[in-house]
Amino acid sequence: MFRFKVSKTIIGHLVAILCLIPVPYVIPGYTAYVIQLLMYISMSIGWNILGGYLGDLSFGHAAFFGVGAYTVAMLDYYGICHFSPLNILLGGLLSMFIAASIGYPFLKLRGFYFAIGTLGLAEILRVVYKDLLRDYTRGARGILVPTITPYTIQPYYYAILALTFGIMLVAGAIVNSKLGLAFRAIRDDMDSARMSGINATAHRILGFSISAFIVGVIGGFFVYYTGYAHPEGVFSQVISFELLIMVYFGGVGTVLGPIVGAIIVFIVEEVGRALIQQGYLLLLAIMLIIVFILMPGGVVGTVTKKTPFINPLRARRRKLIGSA
Amino acid sequence: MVLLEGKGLTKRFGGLLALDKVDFTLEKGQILGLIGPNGSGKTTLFNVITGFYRTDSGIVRYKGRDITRLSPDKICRLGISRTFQLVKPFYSMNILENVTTGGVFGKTQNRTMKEVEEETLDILKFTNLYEKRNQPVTGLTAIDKRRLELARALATRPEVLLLDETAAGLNPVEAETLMEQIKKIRDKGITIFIIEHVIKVIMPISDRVMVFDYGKKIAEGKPEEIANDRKVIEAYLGVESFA
Amino acid sequence: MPIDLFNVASNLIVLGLLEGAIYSLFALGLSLIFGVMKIFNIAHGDMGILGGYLCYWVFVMYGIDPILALVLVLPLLCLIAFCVQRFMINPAIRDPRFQIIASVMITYGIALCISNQEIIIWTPDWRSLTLPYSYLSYSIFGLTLNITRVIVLLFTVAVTIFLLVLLRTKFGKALRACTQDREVSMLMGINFGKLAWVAFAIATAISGIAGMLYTLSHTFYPAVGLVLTIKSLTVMVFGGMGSISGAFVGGILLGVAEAVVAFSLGGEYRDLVSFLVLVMVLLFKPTGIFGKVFLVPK
Repeated sequence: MFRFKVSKTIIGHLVAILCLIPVPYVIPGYTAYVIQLLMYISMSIGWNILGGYLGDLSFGHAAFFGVGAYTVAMLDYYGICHFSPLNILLGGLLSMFIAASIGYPFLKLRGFYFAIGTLGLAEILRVVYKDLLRDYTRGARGILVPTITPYTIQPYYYAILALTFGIMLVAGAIVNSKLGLAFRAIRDDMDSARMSGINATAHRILGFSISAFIVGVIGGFFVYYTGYAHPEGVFSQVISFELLIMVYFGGVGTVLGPIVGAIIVFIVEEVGRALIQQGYLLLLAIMLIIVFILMPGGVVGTVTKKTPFINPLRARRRKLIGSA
Repeated sequence: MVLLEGKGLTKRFGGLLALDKVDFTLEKGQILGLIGPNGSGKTTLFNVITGFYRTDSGIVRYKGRDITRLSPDKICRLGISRTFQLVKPFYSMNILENVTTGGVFGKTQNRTMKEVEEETLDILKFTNLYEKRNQPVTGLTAIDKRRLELARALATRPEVLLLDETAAGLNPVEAETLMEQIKKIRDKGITIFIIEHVIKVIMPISDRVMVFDYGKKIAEGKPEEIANDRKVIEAYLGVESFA
Repeated sequence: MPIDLFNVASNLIVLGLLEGAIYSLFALGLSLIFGVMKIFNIAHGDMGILGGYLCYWVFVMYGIDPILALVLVLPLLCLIAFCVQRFMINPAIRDPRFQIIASVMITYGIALCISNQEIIIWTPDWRSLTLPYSYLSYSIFGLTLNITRVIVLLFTVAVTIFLLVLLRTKFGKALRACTQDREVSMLMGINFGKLAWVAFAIATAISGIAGMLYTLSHTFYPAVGLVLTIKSLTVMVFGGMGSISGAFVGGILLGVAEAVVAFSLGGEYRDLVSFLVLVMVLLFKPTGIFGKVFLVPK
């Protein structure tokens, strides 16, 4: 029952990735765009694991992006380690560690409270990296990271391509596994899930950690790619919001949703930026409204006529409804 | 042999005393019934046993082991399962998947998917859901929801099954079928603790019956004794009925 | 020296109080919107600061005193709020299944849009208002208060009196009824649509005033809107939603706490206080410390 689905998804992803391999040689002018797009795609997939599969909507995922980014920046800046894959990995791990450690109290929250909590977390981390640890992080000035390969963009491209593929594999593996089943059960009804033997708290911490890791890794990559880590940039609410809209527009909770959403949002942003410059955020907000009015399941959900992801932002309910 | 017992269980919600030093014992192979007016603490007791509520005081013991502070999923994996009065199935899955979830995460975890599925199909046949097994759960009738809930609970392979008002709203034929099912479940070796309002269902099948009122146990005994117990009648009908 | 300490402490407390008054005003607006419409308006702080920016603009462009500018700005702000409400929020929350998520997400988007617009028009630089009379200060009970602080005090008192009076009117009673149970209120004949409207307008006006007060007494920048929203949420969660006194207690406590922290650890830790308090309260006691907070209706 499950194995068949895995093959189909993995093959699909593999084919897509293979198609993308020749990009720097075939359409070299667009390589930078595709790199950006791949970053969006992988972050969306990461967010979707927490928000879509597990049902915990995070409004402050930029927190993990920033942590990953700064970890890389600081490791490089202080000369502790110049081996990029390791730094990126450490960036992801620190994000994951933060998620796991605050996870237990945080996940006592659900729905709305959790969303606001993550929002607060992103802001706290922004202030922490900007002011509190100013002496270490160079505060608002940011940290410059010298580019690894100043003349060629290919290594960056293939790095992000590989990362994206890896992240797709992770998400695909989760979806069709026992873990994915547990996630879905928790999302659909936490009490019934617990009564079926699922340790909801442990699973949610796990989902939170994986999601944080993924976004942290991309944050690390971002710093190597753009060469600059800066608190307002990497902890930006715009990033958090973009993730939200990408996944929701594409189809929250689905496998392809975040990918489709990332692509569409990316296009809208580029076009919007060209046409109305800074006002493109308004376009995103309008897209969000469209989602809720017309297609709650997002593009993918509506096309495949699946039940839209209905998870009203419930607060944690310890009391069970209905008692005698 | 005493499988499940509770002593001195007390639970307060603010000013409301939902459970007042409640004791109970559940013997293996027995069907224990629990009746009482609305609000008398029956579901609260179930919530306390299964770990959804924390008791203010008292202890719950399962096979001699203290399970008072355990989380619901641990309690499920130890072998105690329950149904909820208000059924909230996993809405993104169909019936088969709903029940399979219980099987996958329930008591015995080291089974292959195939084994779980086979057992799930048996359970679905038992609860008359086999034909509908690929239907999505949104839009199920109330009765099918009940059946689904029972199936899911059974899929976790419990030794003790807590049923919370599974007969509400059933017509006499369905109620009869339910009673048969409960007896069959007992015959399979599962001990049952059942909350019910429908007297016609609970009295014939229970070995013993407990009666709650305002969070206290006011009577316990064989069904016939309870039916004639003055305190019980007062609790349900009021003192004036004897005037 | 004990007298110095007393002086410092009392100055801190008074300053904190007046800071907190602004937070309380924001919180009042937020809880009003939430109570009546069950929308958590993340854009609340941004709307208020927009009002502040508009007053600033009027002052810079036309030399009109920002306080007087309120007369022009508040209606404009309400108009903007109306458009946002009608064309952006309402359509998104039409489906009752998604009402809460949609409202939170769309107001988040709106908050970003507003602060983005502010960045475009007024640049992200920090700004401050210096009025011809900004240097005036008064001595009250041995404390020196700058005139801006006094203005804040006066406005806060005025708004409070307004609200207290309002709640005693028929409208106010209807408002409270709707907060508690919308359907029953409608069954009782209360025109919910209109009421929600007026409530939203009042809340926006209050936050506009609070925004103006904020720009009067601080250096401000576009991103401060979200910070203010979070602080209002902290106040709400701390003091309990729906009570005026709760909002004030919470706001004042927050203001004083911030003043103490800023004094002892440095100004940049100010915002951290409210974030930490919020996260702590959410984690450990989401029902609020003093009152009952129905942050999510059933």
